[in-house]
Amino acid sequence: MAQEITLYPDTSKISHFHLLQLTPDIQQLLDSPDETSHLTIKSAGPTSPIFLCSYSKTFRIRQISQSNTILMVSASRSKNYTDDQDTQMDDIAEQDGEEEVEAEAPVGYLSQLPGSILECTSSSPQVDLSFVPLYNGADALSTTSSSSSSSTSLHLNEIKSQIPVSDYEFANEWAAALGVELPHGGAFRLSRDFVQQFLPVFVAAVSADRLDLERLEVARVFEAVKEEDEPVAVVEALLRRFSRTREEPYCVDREGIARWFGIQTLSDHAYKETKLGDFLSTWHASLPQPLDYPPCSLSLLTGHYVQPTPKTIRYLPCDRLPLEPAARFERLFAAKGAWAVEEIMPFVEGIERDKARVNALFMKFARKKSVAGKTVITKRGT
Amino acid sequence: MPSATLSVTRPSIPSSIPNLPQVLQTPSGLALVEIQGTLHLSTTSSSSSDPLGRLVFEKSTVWLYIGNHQRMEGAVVDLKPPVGLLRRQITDDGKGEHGAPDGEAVEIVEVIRKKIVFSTRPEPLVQDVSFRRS
Repeated sequence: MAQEITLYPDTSKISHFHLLQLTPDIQQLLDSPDETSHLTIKSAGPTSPIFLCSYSKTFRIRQISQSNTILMVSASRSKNYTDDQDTQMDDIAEQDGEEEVEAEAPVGYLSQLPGSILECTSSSPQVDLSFVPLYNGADALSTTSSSSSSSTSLHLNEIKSQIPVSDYEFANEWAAALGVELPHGGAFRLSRDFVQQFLPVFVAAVSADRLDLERLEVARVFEAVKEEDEPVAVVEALLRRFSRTREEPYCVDREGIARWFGIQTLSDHAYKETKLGDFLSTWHASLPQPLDYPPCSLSLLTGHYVQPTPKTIRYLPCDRLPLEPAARFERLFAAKGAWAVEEIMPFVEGIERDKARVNALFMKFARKKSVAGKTVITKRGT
Repeated sequence: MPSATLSVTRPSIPSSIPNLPQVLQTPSGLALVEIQGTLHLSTTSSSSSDPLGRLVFEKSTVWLYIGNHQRMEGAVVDLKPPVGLLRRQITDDGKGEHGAPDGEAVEIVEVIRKKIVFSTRPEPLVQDVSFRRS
């Protein structure tokens, strides 16, 4: 037996509805109470990309246009789904119910949805904290911004509200950027100069006091470096940055310290390449003593350097390259004409993780060639 | 920075459309219909009292009758992936129901897993033969 529904138009408030594709990732997110309790839609500005952020994940939202018309049939008018209601329509519905619509002739209300569907794709956190003022020590609070002063210092919540990523990812990026919120409320990033001066003192003091480097507590470390007269928040920011654990007790990350000093040494060669041997010697000499570190190997600096020739090296940080593929490839080929696949991959994975799609990017924006039995990626048209 | 909270609402009282096939029954009584082309819905309240058409379910086929002179043939298909129906909530005072800082909140009011697709052209329909003879 055929089933039949009489359709009536419902044109109220349709612009308030949107359709969101629920990919397996998003469905998993919605099934987790911890993640759904933090769900927020964020954007850095009115014309910036939009992100869906849960507690620990970030998804970029894109609007996919549909050529077909998408309609919604509901059992009732949009009364249950909108804030206010066209009462005239209610009256009409009641009349319909009395005069025409019997129990065996059910009614559906048809409204048109926007001609697009929202698609969520997993997104790597793109966090730019360069606007946060630098901290150069308790005696010399300064900022990078020319207009900044103590009266315009930022609070951590203000900074957090400007970054469209999940809370967990923000906390990681804040720790990685050596972010610190001082007792008077100002939020800063520990400057490179400050860390290069203070960390050796810090390491020496911790070693001298024979503290367990695998189980460091903020209070004990603060006591060890008390003479330096730095706030406990600064000590904790350093511990958090150079630790393998996110919370107390902190476990010193020797590889992380070596990597940080390697990147700082390398960043001096952003515009001009240097000899590889000289760079490795300088890097090794910069490491705070008396800790043992893993060997100064380029594998620690993956995604931060380019080798124009086998014996030279230049700073090229992946996180500062353009996100737009064409512009990124242009920058990469400006730094080096021909890349081995394993060399270029760290710079491409930043914009695309799927292997098939990475190959598609190579096909579109570069050229794959075989040179001496080895695959290299070169600029198109060469 | 523009932001809005997103919440998930699980309807507690089913409000399904009677006679809608079970596969299309959702807790909030919502179903999606997709057609090729454009359907001009009237925005005037007087015309909203007139039926727009009918949906008729016959085994695996669904017919959409628009007015008295056209019908389209369609089918119920799976939505892969399913879609969530988002509703924006804005209160008169500009504050969201959930206290969103920008005065806006969004909720997922329904998860829809099936839709009725009409991918063919409308067929002309001659309904009232006796009227035409007279």
